[in-house]
Amino acid sequence: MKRINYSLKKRAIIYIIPALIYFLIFAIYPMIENIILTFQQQTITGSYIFVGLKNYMELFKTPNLGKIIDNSLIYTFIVPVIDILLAIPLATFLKKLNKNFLLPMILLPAFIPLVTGATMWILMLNPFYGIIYFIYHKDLFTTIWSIVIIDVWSSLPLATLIIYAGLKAIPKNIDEANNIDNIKGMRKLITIDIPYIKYQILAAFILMLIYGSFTFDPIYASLGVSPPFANLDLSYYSYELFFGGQLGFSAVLMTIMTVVSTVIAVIFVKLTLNNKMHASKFRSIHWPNIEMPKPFVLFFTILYLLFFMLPFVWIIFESFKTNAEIFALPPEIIPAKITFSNYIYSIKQGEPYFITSIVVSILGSFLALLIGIPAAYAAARYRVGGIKFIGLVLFIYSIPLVILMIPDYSLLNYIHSINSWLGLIIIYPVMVMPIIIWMLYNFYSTFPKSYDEAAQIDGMSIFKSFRKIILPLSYDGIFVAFLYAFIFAWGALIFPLAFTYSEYNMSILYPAGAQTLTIFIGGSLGHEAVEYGILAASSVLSMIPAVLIAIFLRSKIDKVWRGGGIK
Amino acid sequence: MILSINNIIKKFGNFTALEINDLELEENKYYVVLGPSGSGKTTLLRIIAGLEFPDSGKITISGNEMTNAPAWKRDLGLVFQNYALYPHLTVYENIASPLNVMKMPRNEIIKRVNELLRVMELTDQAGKYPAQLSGGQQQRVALARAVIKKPTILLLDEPLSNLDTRVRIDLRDYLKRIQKEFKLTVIHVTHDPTEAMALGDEVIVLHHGKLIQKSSPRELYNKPNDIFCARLLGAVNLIPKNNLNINDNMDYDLLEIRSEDIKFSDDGEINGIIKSMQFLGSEILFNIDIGNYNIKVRGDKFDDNHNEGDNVKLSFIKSTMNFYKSGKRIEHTENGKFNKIPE
Repeated sequence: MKRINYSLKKRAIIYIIPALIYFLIFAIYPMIENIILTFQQQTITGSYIFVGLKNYMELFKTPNLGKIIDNSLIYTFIVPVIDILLAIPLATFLKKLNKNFLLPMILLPAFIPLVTGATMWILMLNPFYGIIYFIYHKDLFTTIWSIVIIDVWSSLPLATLIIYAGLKAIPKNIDEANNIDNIKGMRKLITIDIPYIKYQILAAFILMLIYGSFTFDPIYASLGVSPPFANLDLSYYSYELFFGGQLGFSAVLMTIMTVVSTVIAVIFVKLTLNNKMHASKFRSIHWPNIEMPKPFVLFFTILYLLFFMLPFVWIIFESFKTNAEIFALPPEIIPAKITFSNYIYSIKQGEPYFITSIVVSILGSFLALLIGIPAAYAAARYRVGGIKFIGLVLFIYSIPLVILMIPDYSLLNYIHSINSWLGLIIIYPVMVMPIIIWMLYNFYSTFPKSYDEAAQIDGMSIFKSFRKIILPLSYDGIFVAFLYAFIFAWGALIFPLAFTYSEYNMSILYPAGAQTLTIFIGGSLGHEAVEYGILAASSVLSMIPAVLIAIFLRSKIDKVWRGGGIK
Repeated sequence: MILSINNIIKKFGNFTALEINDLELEENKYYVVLGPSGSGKTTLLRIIAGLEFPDSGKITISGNEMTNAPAWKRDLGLVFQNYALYPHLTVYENIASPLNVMKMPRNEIIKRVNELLRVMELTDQAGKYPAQLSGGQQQRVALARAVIKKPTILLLDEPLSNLDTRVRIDLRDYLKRIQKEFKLTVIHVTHDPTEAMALGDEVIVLHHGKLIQKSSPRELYNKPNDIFCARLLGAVNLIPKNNLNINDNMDYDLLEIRSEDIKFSDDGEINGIIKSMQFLGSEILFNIDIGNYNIKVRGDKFDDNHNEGDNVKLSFIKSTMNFYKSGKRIEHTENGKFNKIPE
């Protein structure tokens, strides 16, 4: 590694200090505070008293905890296994077909808010009014498998993308050499390609593990249609406890999750930062050496696309139906007469939520950019903080947000920012800044050093050079990072749920209330009189930014996501 | 002395990239740093520029100690190998950039930039962006940006290596002219010996991070300090002792003679057989076997008398011979005395 002068490095430290302080306050401190909370209980007056191990004893007294842990384990291990098994063939098909329009279609489920995705499945799988009526008459939401399906549906795109990016990165001359040696089909996939992209497959697996183990949004959305405890996991249960005021026991569960997630995260960080190859053991087996015929490839790709797209089609149909059509038995598939009334009602009822989501997503992402860009640049260009800083960023990226809830609530409460736009804007960077820093770190690592050096020679200090030369040259990369950040902020659920309790009051001078669109959509199904049409229309509206961004990014997607990823 | 370098050591990990004990450069001279890749020449340039910093040692520029000063405090100009023009700024803005940083008055900037655009024959390109220019034009913009603030030292990092041969020869003249016109001290880094000899008032040869020779191109060519320098510049014959029985009572390992200093001559002392020949346009290069040993000899391009397989007699221009002992050149008094004339 090249040594960079200490004095330049010392100057550049200023660039990562804001990010470092931010992470320490809003991500690291909460994890420590949780541990202290596990030994405390809140009294009626609101003060905390020391109670020893009493909170831990609750673990043995809670009757449904066994079921909850079982569910957590199923999400943690079944989801990533299904993901990887489905992602490898799909990625292979995508590479074979080499059609650029397929990628944004497949990615759509990962781009839209997860709550919207869950809602789509809930409507589709409704045993009476959903399209599943024609196939299967039982209610899948009485079981845990509905959540597993939603998890797979929403996480498979990312797993596929990481593996696809890996496959695309295999040098052309290796493919050509295989051609000459007549190695093809399954044999090539298993003996050449998979060993080559082993790292990407592992990274995808770990990322899916993180994704599955802290399933939250689909459980929240399906609360109104599921029996109690049927699909609850630790992540959601600890939120319920927090909501019910049992902070001590909630902190116990969160501490357990912190430990588990730290173990997984450390593996993830190590894997992401050391990209090493090892020899394969699968070479000795005689795998079939036949190329899969193109019609089969097309057939399976269409099956995948149906799986990804059907919920979208169904919810768009639903959104244009009248109430009578929605509750017809057997279900009407295509609306006889298109009505826009659902959209009009949705915009009327949802207006404050829409406004809040737009404002906090944009400003929250912007704040994250403001702190994140200099940090990413200093880390990449001057190696400030070294591998430790980037490790910290990836670590925060891979922990479940739910464990930060209680202490971050206290922090926001302390600055009187609960239930306000400001509160969400301040807290959103916890969620989006790691992605921004990681993406821009990779961007700046490949950025030619000579521009900055030329600027120094021209007499600019490293700060001036950053402002005048580097920033203007990186608007492209920054814009892409902003779009990703926006997608996350737009789909955020846990933070708005934890830190807000009412909708925006529509006052410009004295704005208050900050419930987001995700709460509007996700909370609807819990109500007694559910307006399915309006819910469908709101869901469709909530997808619009995601769809636009997916189309806009289509050519950049596999480059930007290479090596990185998205929660 | 405009630049002095004392006891500089720069390591990358365990690899010592540069180790220079003493190097002093004078004002208004054109210095060329010559060496193969990995010789430390770019590291030396970057250390002078303040883009790298030495592990130990001292750098003094115009009498001020600058060892750890960052680049922006050194008042130098640098033309990068890939030019590093700012792609988002026009030619005019690129050239004006150093003056803008100095907060020079606007009309003074306009005056200076326009003047330089004229000298560099870039006036028509002022509004264009770097991507719209040819390689040679980009090179001149980079040069203009580097000289506009009248730097103490102008540093050139392989400035001609990305250009095709024809443009390169034109630009060589141009560089020399600019140096004279602006009275600049230039340090030009290259791996091309012809470029070094064509441009340098003095050539500084680096090898494995160490300074081997600092002298005028003529001296470097005629009296190289060691075998490395001898080999660096053009075709050379290095003949082990006892092959020719020249100066046998002198203590040396190798005899060096340039291929152009050997002539076909009927009363030559050395017999040989022409093994192969290459017609190079301006000359013919003969490969001649003189018994256990092959030497290269330059012949006239109109020479039709010598063909492959011919027996020839050769004479050496003895005053140009150099002698080496364990790689280093040694002085000698007897100019190529043959102890025994071979049959």
